[in-house]
Amino acid sequence: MRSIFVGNPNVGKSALINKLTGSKLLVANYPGTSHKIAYVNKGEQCFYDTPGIYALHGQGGNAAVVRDLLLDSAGLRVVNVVDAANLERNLVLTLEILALGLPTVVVLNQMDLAASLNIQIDMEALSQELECPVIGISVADGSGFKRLLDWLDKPVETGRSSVDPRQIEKLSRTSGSPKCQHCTEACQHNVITIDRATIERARTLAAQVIKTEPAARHQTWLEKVQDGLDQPVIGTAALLALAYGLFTMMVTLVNLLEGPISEALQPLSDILTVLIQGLLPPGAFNEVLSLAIPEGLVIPFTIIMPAMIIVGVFISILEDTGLLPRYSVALERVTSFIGVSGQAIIPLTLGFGCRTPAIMATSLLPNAAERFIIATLLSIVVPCAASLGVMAAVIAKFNAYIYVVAATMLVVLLLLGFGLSRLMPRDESFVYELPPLRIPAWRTTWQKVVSRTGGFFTEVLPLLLLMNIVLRALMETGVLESFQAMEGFTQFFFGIPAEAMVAVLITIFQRYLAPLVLLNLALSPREATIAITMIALSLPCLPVMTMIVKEMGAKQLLSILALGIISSIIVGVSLNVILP
Amino acid sequence: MKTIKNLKTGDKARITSIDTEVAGSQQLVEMGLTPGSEIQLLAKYPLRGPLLVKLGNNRIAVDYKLAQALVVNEMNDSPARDVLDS
Ligand SMILES: Nc1nc2c(ncn2[C@@H]2O[C@H](COP(=O)(O)OP(=O)(O)OP(=O)(O)O)[C@@H](O)[C@H]2O)c(=O)[nH]1
Ligand SMILES: [Mg+2]
Repeated sequence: MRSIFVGNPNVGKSALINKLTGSKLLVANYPGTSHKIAYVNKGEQCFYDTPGIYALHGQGGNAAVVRDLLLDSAGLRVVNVVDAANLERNLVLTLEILALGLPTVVVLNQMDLAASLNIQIDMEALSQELECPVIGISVADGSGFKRLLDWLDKPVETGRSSVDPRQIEKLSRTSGSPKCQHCTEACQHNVITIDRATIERARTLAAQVIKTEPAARHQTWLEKVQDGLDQPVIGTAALLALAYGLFTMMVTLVNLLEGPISEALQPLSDILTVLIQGLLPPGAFNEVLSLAIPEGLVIPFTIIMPAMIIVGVFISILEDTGLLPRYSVALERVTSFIGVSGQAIIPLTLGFGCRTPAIMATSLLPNAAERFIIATLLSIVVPCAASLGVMAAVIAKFNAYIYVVAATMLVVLLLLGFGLSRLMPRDESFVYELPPLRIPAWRTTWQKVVSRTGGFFTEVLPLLLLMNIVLRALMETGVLESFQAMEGFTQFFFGIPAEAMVAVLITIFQRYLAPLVLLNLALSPREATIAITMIALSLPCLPVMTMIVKEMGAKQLLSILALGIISSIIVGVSLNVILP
Repeated sequence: MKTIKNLKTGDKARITSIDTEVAGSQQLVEMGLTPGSEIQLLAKYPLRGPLLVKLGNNRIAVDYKLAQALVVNEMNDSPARDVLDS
């Protein structure tokens, strides 16, 4: 039995499936969280999670994806998830779905929110008008699930088992990208549109079944905060202050934690050293491993793990409260300067956690050109949590100029985005729905932090250990010293010693490991600043490259890599000229 | 012809039509900004920034160019405003 969950963006489709099955679909408080069809099996049942859409006969790739899924309708049921607090707009999609004639249940979710807004819905009347079951639930407080489970357990009898042939024709005609006979690309000439009558019917229906209007009602404190944040000047200032506060807090915490953590791990690392020294036959091999393994195991815990957890917590909170999409409105002028619409703030911010899911999140951008610009900026400029941890440690060790590093990265972000967007001129438009501010469900938020930090054990730790062994071996064998010959060259162009240049070159393999080489050198603050900035603005790590190839293709990756190398070199030379 | 750009922050209005000549206007209709619906202008961001519109319990941000597509009729049913106006 297959059930497909369809609904407007951000109504809680993914959260509902998670609650029903215990799955771990990504849930976040902004429209466009899910961008692909996902399915979850539970017993005999198969639940399909879909990207949120405003209309079945709407433009855009997501609507087409959902239409395609509905076309293959044998044995299919529809669970139409509706935001109870926004009935009128949601009902347009509901009516479109019901016209298909598939067995359908209308689930009014977020009943808790509707109640707090003083909205009461006559569900019986709605059910009679729509001629289908209507069930009110709340994923947040768990109410209404019994009836929903009963419906899902019942074998399908009502309704036709497949889509009405006329509707199939309509669906397939409108499937795929919207374009007219004259154009080869998506155009505005022959657009798929919602029926005017459907819109009217949704309006009358909503007026008919909503019993109490949110009349004179006390605003909750959350709504007051929301009103404040949605003010252009005060709101933007508050959001920017928050971002700055979180950033400084992250840097301070990472530096504060480093000492105690490494002290706590010292005994363990000592034991390891002794063990390896005793177990392996003496020689160069022994020396390298007894030094590299304990070090390679401790460094990730002292500087990378804390950064990953702290950034993970911050990003999850920004996501789940609904603050994150507010940045997309406040900073729309900035994103427009780099040629992308406001939503781009979301993948860019996610990139501070890990850039692999951030590249996936670029799918909430409206076109391929914007996705390419943001993927480039993510790859070259945005530092992920692991890089941030290492950078913070290196900056602290050498007293490097943190503001120079941050400002340079910002300038490169703006210039690179500006340049790329002029190369790909197009009409961009920005329409985005702001979700209500919510108090996060702390348990789910914490689960997200845990899954965000999972990469630490599967990726960061093993890779770092391996790289550290290789590095130590290179140092012991004196290979690094052979780079001394380049000293004149690197000092002249970039103002950094040859060994630091080696660190820059290592970024080609794994970006966040490169600064570790710096930790073993004696650098002046100026040299450290230049080296760390060159490393920060260079190439993406391997998982990100793989993701770019998968989502956008190898050609795009090659352009991004070329841009990364060029920008790193330009930044090094410019800083060498500018810095006193 | 009055568009939401001509409204003041806090003004309520009814959408009378959507200018389909403006690129991207179809998206507005899909998001519920249809002729006949009531909206309130919540905020206008400076430097030709986006406009924030309240529709039912939704808040929708629309960029400056696209806002041109939302043709409205101002509603003067709020008594507070009448006092201010006179
Ligand atoms: N108060 C309240 N919040 C809810 C409820 N259900 C979901 N949410 C919140 O609504 C937000 C959106 O949930 P998602 O499951 O990501 O929504 P979605 O429909 O999958 O959204 P898209 O994938 O973007 O289309 C999350 O912050 C949820 O925590 C509910 O019943 N009550
Ligand atoms: Mg979802």
